[in-house]
Amino acid sequence: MGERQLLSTRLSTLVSTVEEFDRLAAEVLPELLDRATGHARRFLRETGQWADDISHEKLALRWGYELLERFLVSGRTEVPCRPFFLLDSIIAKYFSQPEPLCYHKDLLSPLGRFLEGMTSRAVVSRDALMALFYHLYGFSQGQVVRILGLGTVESQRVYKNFERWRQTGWQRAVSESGVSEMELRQIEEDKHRQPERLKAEADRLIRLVQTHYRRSEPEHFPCLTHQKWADLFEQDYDFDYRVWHLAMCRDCLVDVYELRQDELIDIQSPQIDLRLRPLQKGGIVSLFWTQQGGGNGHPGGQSAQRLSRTSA
Amino acid sequence: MDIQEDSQLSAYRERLLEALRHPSRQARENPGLLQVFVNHECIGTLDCSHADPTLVFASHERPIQTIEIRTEAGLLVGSFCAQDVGAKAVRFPVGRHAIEMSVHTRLDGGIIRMKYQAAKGWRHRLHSAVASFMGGLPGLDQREHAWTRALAVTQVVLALAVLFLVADRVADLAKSQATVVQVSPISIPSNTSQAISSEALALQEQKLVRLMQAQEAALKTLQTQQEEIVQVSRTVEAVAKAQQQLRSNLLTVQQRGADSKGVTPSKLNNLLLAELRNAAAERKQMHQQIQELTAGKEALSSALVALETRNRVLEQNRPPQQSAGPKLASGPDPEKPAVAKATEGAPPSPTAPAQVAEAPRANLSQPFTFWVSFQDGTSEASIEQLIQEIHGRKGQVSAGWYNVEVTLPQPQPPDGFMESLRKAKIVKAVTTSRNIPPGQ
Repeated sequence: MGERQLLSTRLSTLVSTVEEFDRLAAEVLPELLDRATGHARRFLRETGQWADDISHEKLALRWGYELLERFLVSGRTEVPCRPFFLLDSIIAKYFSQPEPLCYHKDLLSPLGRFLEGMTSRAVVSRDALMALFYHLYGFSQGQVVRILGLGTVESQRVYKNFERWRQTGWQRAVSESGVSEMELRQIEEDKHRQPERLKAEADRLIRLVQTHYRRSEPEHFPCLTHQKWADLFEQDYDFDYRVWHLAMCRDCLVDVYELRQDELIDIQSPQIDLRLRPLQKGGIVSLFWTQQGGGNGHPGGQSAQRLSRTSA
Repeated sequence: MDIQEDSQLSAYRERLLEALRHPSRQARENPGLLQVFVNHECIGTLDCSHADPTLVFASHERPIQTIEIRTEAGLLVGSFCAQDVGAKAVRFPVGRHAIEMSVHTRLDGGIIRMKYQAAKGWRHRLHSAVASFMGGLPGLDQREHAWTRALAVTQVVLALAVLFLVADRVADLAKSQATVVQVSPISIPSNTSQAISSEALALQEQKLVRLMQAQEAALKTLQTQQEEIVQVSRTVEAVAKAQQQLRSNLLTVQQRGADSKGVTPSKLNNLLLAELRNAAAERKQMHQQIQELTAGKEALSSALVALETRNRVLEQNRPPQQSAGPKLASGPDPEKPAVAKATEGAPPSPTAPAQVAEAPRANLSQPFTFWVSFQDGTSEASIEQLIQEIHGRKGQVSAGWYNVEVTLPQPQPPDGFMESLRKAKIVKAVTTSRNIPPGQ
């Protein structure tokens, strides 16, 4: 108790330099995380979105982590400051926004957490955004480039995005969203045993998540008409809009696919085809692993059809 | 929660703490494309592969509250909370590089200016320092000169020190080898001399090999440094060339100055006089044009005055019940078309408008007689007024029918005129029978 009081006093006192801020933050990181998590928990309680179970605890912990990360980076530009007060202020500001969290009871399941974690990551990471096309519909990088009608420079970026996602991004996103390896295996098993049921469930959850996170990009929010999409592709502009919106809106993706069907004969229409692991580097290697029944959990032969053989 | 769930939660918490402890934000490589988020919305990207990329964003509706800079992988490299209204400048380190940002926040918006500054390589720093040291590049201020010179001197001193140390080390190694060779025969007893001498030889051989390797390394270092020096000398040459170019440019400018000095004052005066004469002629021409324009304007204004006077007279003659009258003004008034024609054309001479206005009256008029009857109860005054409006001349009156003669302009057909007249409120009927009044 005495230690806690001492710590609280230290964090409430004025920090004058960046070095001091970094040192103090590193020393008391667990306490700061607990404080941020406590705020998230209280917000969920006060808005009637709380239950005493591990899913809610994980949700609070995850949001505490996200807010603490922002505090650790922005705090360096705020010295001199009192760390506790600054953390509280950042958290209060975040929770004072309309609908700050994507909360829905169904999203607390392992599948819901996975989908929510991936989509929430896609808001801040272009790597994750591009990877959504693979995780939700099974499109490889080459297919993504063709569906989105990207130019040479943009295509290279897509390949880099997939590469980085494969190397570090996916692991980080899964780890931060709190989905354990055991839970991933469980979902894979469900997919193998009851593919249609899982597909229907994923379809429902994806709509929930996409509707929430699409709001984070107001410029990319409005769905275009068929004609406007046609103009956009015909006149070859607004790559960013295509990437952001189509990754976050399944209906528009289907619309665009139908629009460009003649050019995409060898690509299947965008249907929910959930992939939990990142796309492997070589199509042939993945095919081998798939047929072996191992390989990062790509059960079933269908997945191999969409793998790129020209991956980066 | 049971124990298993507790342990799961603890493991998750540990993972998150670990991610916070090692965010790998200090990546040394180029961060590529950086995404900029304002109030948690992506507003643009900063392409760090270009030279000194910048981003300017202005918000016109909402105040700027938070700014975040993330890599394409989503890694948070910079975050800023705008706590209040005002201006602030911040600098985020991104590995060896940095982002400089200035934020101006208002209650109804704000402006962000962001610039990525890539760290300069040591070669660049050395070259620029040596170049400025050797040549004294123009445009640098004294403080910058002093700093770069000091840097160059330090680097040269360091290189010399390294060379000295390497040479010293090589000399030490050579000496120790010589000592071993000299001491071993004296200290070793004679009965074991053969065995030991072979060991000593092997040892000596090993040391010689090491010495050779050290010498090779030293040679390589020297070669590298020579290459560097060659490169530096190339830079110096380039700077010298640039200076030479500058000097030749200066000479050219001086030559031109001298050439201009060679012109005699009388020639210069002649040139100036010719120019002045041209200017005076142009001025005179312009003055004439202005005079002509003024005369034209005066003529136009006098014509305008005449027309206004005429209009005023017409207005005075027009009875107050104009609104009740038919649209006869456009039809029977023979002057209007002439005036319109006069104003449509090019500006005429001062007397032209009056001439044009008078001409149609003489040539294009035609007399036209008709009979008109009026509604019951129409006063004589109203009848007189209408006849005046149409510039008619009243003839005999028989059984309520009035014989009226008007002068119509040539293009105006009598039927159109009569049709217009019939529309007048007080008119009952109109006919063209000349001899026998209708109804008789």
